[in-house]
Amino acid sequence: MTGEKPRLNDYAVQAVELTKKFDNFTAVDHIHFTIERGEIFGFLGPNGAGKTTTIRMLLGLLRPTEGEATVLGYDIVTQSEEIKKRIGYMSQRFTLYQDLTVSENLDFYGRTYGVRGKELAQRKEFMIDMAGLKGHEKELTKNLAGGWKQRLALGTAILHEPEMLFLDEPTAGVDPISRQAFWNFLYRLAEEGTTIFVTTHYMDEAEHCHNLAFIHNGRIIAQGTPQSIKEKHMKGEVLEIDCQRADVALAALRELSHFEEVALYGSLIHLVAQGVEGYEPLIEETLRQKGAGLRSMDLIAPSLEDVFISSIKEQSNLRGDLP
Amino acid sequence: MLARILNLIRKEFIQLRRDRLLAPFIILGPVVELIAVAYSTSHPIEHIPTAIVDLDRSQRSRELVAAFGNSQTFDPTYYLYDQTEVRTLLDNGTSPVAIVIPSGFSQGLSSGAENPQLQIILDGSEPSVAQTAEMAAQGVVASYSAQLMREEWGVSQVATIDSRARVWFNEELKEANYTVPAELAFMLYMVALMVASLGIARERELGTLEQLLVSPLRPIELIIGKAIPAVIISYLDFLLMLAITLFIFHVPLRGSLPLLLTVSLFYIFVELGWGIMISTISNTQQQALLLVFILAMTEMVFSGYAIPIESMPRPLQLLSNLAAIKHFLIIFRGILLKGAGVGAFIPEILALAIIGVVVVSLTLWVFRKRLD
Ligand SMILES: Nc1ncnc2c1ncn2[C@@H]1O[C@H](COP(=O)(O)OP(=O)(O)OP(=O)(O)O)[C@@H](O)[C@H]1O
Ligand SMILES: [Mg+2]
Repeated sequence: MTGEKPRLNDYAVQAVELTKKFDNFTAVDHIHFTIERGEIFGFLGPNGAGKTTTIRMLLGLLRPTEGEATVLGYDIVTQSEEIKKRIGYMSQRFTLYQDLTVSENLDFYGRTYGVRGKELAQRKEFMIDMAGLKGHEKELTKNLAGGWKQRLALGTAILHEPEMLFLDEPTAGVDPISRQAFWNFLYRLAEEGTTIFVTTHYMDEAEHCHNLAFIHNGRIIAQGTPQSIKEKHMKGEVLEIDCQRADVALAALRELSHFEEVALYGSLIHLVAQGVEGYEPLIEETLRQKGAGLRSMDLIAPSLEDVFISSIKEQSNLRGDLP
Repeated sequence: MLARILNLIRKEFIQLRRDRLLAPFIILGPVVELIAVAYSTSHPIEHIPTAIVDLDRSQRSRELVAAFGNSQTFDPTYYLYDQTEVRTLLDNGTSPVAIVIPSGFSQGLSSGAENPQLQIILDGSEPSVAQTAEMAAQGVVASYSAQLMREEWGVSQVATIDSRARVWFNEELKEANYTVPAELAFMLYMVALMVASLGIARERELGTLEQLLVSPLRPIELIIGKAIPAVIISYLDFLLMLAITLFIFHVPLRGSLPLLLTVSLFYIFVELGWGIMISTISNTQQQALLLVFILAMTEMVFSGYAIPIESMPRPLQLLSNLAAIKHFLIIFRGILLKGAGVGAFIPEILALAIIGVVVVSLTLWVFRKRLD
């Protein structure tokens, strides 16, 4: 091995004007963010927002069109060899070999990172325990159930004890209980000093992160701690309305055009406005007239999802787009 | 670096062993194909580059050479002064036919004392060419004799020309001696291409390539780690097929076995280069297979096996030099049937080396390029 190259800074990640264009389409658009060592950084955004593209650039799989970034203090373009040794990556797709056994997969990836001998055996045993796969070591990976595959994939990604972990939608399609267990495990890793970069669709998971960035259409539209994002980007309070005919109510309330935001959350309506309580009589009256069948109306603490929708709207207003 | 490559090779073999389709296919397929070797159909063969050794240098001999040139079959291309040079031309396959007009040819014709001897030397390692050439030569000679008779009628007794065809290298003109080596080269080629091309394409399709690319495994290590199992398998296949060629089809091995084994390994490397290249540009295994077949068909055409290269238009003949299989076949047949040494194949070995270097550099370049 060649000697260690000097690190350029102390951040886990520092991205400056990072941009990726595919032909004319800009998938990631001049984004800026920094991640401190040891934190759990949540990267949130809807489908096609540019999350995976950002990770692929950071890991040296794609060359940025513009801008630059460092991972663990190493330049992503010129020093990606240094980065690769030090990170673990769990991609959005399941990327273990289906035709290898649990044990063979761990062996292969472990040795690829230079873990071998007694150390490999020890860490393998730990990962197999962690993933609850004891007794299944000789099973072909393709025969494992979904949750087990997920945990095995995580185990493989951290077998070589990376300084930083990149997880691309690690909990997609996983049941809530397993998701909880998964996050508990991430906390433990973070406490032990591993920096974690995690993308997700689930807003409730975002609340667990130390820092967040919202990405939408390739742009970062909000970032900070969950708390600071809420404070900064929420224009007003949130009223949660439960009624029999949510579709009718939604149309009626939008027609009023007094509110910053009227959005549907499952069967509930979230309504955002400055001093929203003052509008309660008006809302009650409107819903009765339209026969929407109001059941309840409560002032609630804004969730990150409210904030997200609110910031998307803010962003489109800024750019003069239609809301 | 070595440890990582070995680790990858081990993984490849585990996967290969588990693959119920690929393993039997690549081991048994070529052997079955070789045993059921298809007999080549005959094709019109024209414009064979012909070596002329005119030792008589008379008007008559020039007329005869012109008669050969006027036929569709022969193109007198090389004019030699010495019969010993014939060997070189036939050895490296430049010219599969040589016509030797002995001194005293025209003397014999006019004196009629004894029938003048014409010698036609044929490269029997390409029987279809040899057979066509032999028959066409008899035809040319017969009509020339007839013409002579008409001209000289009554002047003196005219002797008939006694043309003797001598077939070198494959005296029995045994079809198998020709087809089996070609079939072997072709099968070897298919195996090498297939194994190598599926390797990386499959990982890309499954998404595991991305996982490998973010690991400390470098592109060159990945390519080597994928190529070595393919080399091993292809070489085993080669040895198996060579044994069948020698012991079942009784194709003679007149040259050096170590030379044959070395050159074949070299050839496998070149074809693997193509395979890895295909593997690198394909997104899916299906695409890779399609490209393998397209390339295989192209090389097949240019191998000179199904269609004699002599009968192709000039630009295609030039293009055929890009087909590694063409060069390998010349070497392979040369060693088996002619017992030729390494000196006879310098251009072919050079051609193989150039193709190999170009393909491998191109592959590494494409591999890097694909990251954008
Ligand atoms: N190689 C590529 N060529 C062209 N367009 C691409 C390519 N990769 C991604 N894109 C486009 O870039 C955009 C961002 O994709 P990306 O995969 O980064 O989104 P994402 O946030 O990860 O979405 P998801 O939640 O669905 O995984 C999408 O519109 C996608 O179609
Ligand atoms: Mg994605």
